[in-house]
Amino acid sequence: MHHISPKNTPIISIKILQSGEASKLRYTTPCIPVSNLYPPPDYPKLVILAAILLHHLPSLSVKPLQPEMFMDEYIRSRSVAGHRRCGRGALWGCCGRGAKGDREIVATTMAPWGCDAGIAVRKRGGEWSTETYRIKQLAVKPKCVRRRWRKSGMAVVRRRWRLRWRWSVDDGGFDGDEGFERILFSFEGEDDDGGGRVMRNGQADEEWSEEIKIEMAAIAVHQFADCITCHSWSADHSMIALCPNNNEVHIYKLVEGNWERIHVLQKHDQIIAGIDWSKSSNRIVTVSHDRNSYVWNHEGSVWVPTLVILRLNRAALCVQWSPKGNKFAVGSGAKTVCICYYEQENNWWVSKLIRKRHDSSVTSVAWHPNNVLIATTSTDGKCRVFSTFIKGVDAGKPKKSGSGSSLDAKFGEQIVQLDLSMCWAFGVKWSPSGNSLAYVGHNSMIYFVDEVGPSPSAQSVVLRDLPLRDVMFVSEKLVIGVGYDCNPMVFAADRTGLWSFIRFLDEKKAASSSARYGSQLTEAFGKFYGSSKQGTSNDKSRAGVHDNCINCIVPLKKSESTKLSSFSTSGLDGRVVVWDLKNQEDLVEYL
Amino acid sequence: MASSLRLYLTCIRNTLEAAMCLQNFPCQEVERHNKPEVEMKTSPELLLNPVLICRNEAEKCLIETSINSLRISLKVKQADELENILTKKFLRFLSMRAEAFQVLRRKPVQGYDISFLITNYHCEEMQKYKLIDFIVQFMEDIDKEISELKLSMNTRGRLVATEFLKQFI
Repeated sequence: MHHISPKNTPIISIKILQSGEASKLRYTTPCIPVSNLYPPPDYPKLVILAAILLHHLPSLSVKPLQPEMFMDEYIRSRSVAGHRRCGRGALWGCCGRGAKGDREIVATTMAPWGCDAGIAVRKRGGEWSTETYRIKQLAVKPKCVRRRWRKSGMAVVRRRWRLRWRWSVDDGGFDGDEGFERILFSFEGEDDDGGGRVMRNGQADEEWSEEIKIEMAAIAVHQFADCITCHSWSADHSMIALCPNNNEVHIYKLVEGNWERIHVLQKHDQIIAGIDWSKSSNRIVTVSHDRNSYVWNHEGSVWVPTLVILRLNRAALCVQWSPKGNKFAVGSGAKTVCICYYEQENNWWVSKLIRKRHDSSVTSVAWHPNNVLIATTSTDGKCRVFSTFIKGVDAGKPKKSGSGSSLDAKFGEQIVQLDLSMCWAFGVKWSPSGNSLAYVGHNSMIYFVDEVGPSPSAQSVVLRDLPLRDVMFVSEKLVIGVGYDCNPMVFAADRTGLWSFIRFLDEKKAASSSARYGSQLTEAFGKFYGSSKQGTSNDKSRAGVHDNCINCIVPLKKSESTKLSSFSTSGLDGRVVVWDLKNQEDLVEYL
Repeated sequence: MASSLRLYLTCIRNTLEAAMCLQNFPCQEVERHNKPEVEMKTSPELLLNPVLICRNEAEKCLIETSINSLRISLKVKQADELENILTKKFLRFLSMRAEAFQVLRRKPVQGYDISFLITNYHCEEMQKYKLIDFIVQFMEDIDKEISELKLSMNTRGRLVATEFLKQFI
């Protein structure tokens, strides 16, 4: 790493990067806000780049360097046109550099106080000339996410606080395939707009510009309460039932674009730990730490509760309806699992207990699609699969599926016990076909188990980040995990069936690091211009959609036939976020 | 800040970040109870391995974690008897006002000077990084506070002695 301070340049930093290092070094030395570093694709080893001037004039410094000619070719193209128009000049970032034939080009952006993008072009060895573009207003969705631009191209990443100016160019990148002839600028607008624009051949001509919609995975964020323990959707997704971290269930309905609270279900006297809304029968089941469970039927305009005698002597922790809706399973702190079903002749819900086997609290239960098997996780670190075949409820023997002979088992018989985790296990789920299951351990691991049966095969994936709380299968090859990192994680299986971590869905990492150096710059500007700080109060807060632990993830399936692509998450920050994966180009192949 | 102190605090901060993954978890031994497991210690499987971070023999930090609570116990540097007394008095003063701090424990764990107890309820109400900041800031300030107290104590002692001895001139 080299730092040089050339004459006439108040604050400047140049960093030499090995290619591949760029991503690591986006946040550089603490004193110098180099806002962006990108290696151009055709400089394999040593690369540039970027200078930010904190004083009066914006200036762009570029140094395509070989070590031996380190100081030889210092190029400074002063006063990239346009800064004067902006009133306050600052180069926000050098977004890229490219070379093709005998031409070299450097692009920069003139934000955050302007909506200009600057470009410097020259023939190799010649003088630099500069051009400025003013980016016109576009209205697209807020909060950009990383957009991959072909294989060798640059990525555009951004999500930032709102700015005073109407638009501001945030970042840019070159198209790898066409050299520097196409440049993508991304920017953000006043009303949380964002967008991108492609410049071709250095022309700001409208004809050559394209709008690019930058799609985000989170499509809706609703703040329902201070803290949400669990939530569940009605079959048509028009209503949501959630527990605001107390003994009530609130049901919200979407009325003319606003969520209105239409019912409050009060019957429990301790915090509600689980809610499930049956897809087939429009019934809600709730369980609570007060050891009770209620099944709520919608009669007329009110929800009528029916007490289910669970015969538990400790708190109930989780609940799930079976796929057919005729049974539900409750996991409890009494180290048991209750399977409840409706008895017509007595007109009540009967609970049958799976008493043995669990050595600690049951943290989650999941039904196999065949309506008979359930998987449980427990704080003793094990995941178990049981048969819940109940005579009279499960009429006849169901057809044999992948799980084989296990369906002949009696009620409460343990099919398999998975002892993979050294720590508490949470959030078990079956894949849509029921052939595999996934669960998480508190030791920051996620476990994928295929061929659940007598000879299961398991894969463990270790995470770099904080542990997960819950998982969900989107498809056979795609799993979303949520947890203490406040950002859903995407896991996918490749063709050979090997699972690996793909990325964060909300791109928090990139966003937060940019916010960090962004805030430094803002602070420095604040001092320089004597203006108040803007947008720095949250400099350390998480930049993602959720800002506390996510503890619940629920699939949002439109109908049986369509592919699942959207889901909702809720967490201790009281938000329910709806996500959609359809617009995530890199994930579509796994859906 | 001395670099060794910074390393010590960074280590504590990172440990706290990893340890502060708490959730609401009702007691599985006593009906209708929900108590910090790290205090009750009723089920060994709900406790994680405690982490002891030492800067030297006199300064250490014990972080004990369970499924729904986290206990941080600090031992503050006490070079001499005066510092010993000052630390004791000062931390007692704070402990008496534990409600105001929410996460402060009224009594330190044996062998330590002051203890914090963070439960899942604190994590629900407060932001995690602010909680961690608070603890780290506290550790940073406590040394400063004690040495300032010691200084003013010495100054005062000198003044009193001077005044007292004046009568013999």
